[in-house]
Amino acid sequence: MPTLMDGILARAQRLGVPISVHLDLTYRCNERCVHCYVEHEGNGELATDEVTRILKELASAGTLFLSISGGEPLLRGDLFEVIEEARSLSFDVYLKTNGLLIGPEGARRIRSLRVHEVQVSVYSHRAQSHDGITGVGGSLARSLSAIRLMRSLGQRVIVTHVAMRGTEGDHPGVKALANELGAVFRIDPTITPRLNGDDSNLELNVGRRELVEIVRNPDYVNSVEEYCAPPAPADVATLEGVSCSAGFTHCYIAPNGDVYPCVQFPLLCGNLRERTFKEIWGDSPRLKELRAARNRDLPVCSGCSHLSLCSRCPGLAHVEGDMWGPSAADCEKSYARTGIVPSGSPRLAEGKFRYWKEDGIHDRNTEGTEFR
Amino acid sequence: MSDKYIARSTEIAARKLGLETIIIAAETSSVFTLNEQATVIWEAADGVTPLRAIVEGRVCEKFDVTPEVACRDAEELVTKLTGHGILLVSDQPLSPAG
Repeated sequence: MPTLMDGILARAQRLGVPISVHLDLTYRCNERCVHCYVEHEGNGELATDEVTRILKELASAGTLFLSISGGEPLLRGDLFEVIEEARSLSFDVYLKTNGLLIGPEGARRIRSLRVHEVQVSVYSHRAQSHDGITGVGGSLARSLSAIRLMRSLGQRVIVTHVAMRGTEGDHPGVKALANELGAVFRIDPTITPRLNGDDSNLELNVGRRELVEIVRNPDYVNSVEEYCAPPAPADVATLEGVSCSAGFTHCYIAPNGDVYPCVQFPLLCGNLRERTFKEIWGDSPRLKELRAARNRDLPVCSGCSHLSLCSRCPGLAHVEGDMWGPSAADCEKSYARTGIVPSGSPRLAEGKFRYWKEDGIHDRNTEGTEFR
Repeated sequence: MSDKYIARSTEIAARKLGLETIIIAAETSSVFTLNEQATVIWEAADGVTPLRAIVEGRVCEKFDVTPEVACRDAEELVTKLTGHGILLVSDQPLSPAG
């Protein structure tokens, strides 16, 4: 049954409103996570006054949900100034941070600015494993300290656990830790290619057995029965719909002002130093092309037996070579959910996986990645 | 209708979507939608314009409704929104909302 939020998003799509925007303020980071998709050297950063102007343009365009991230956004000395401006413009602000730079004063400011939620990644409840992934000794202790400070003030915190090789089986421990902290636990089993196209980090994805355990775990899925049910035949609404909000109601703004449909969709649509947001959102030929297609127009996926349940990511499909094609990650996830090979991706029947290998071992030499 | 002053809370997030308004209360992670009529009152809730003036000057001007019905509906709306902490109400003018 559709929720109130489903209705809001559908209305935003009908009206062409970018109701949700992800803004990365910097690609600089004080951690060096082994799986990260960002190139930390970056390509320049918008100045505070430029960010302020862009926020006003976004508010005028109808954006309500604003995710601020990076890199580590607290490495920007003006982060709180930016959030204050965003809140004065009545954005619903979400902050992604590793928390390393959040002390008592930072926690108090986040809370007083009514940030909706702060998302902090915890890779393992074991310090050695977490710190091995971030490359920063003591980082788990510092992230947990920040979470405790924020929670003590009543701030809503999300603990995000990216499941990856080397920390298989840690998710129950991280979930228990999140519960102890009074934080919400979320798990993400997907490591995606880097923004520069380098996909060597895919070898860090957990094995297929672990993926199946995660996607069919009643602790992580509202209704396993529903989530993992065999796909229903695609109806007219599915064929006339789209699988993703990227470019329809959502977009991504990089630290240098480049605009993309999504952080995982490296299809450059314009730069906010050269054009206004309204011009890019309304006039970009690439966005227009993206919006013109519906599920029925997808050459492979339109006829796939999993179309009705698949959350095909056009960004990953684009990275894989064709934004109108299947995205291997979603084909494999759909198979893991249902146990049924999608007809649009018959190679899976032969055990040919790109993201989650059957035995968890990828073709590449992975000897350099030891986290335990 | 007694002279009441209403102001939008600065604790919430809100945006107009078409003719309606979406309101997010982060504190409770709640979502509210205001219809077109309620949106008119919401947008006029500047803390210094009396509710009566908002209803008579804006709601009755824009919609086919009698002042009595509009006043009753507006009072009900203000009570509901105040109860959720997304609207402030006072017998005296409030600090102007942004």
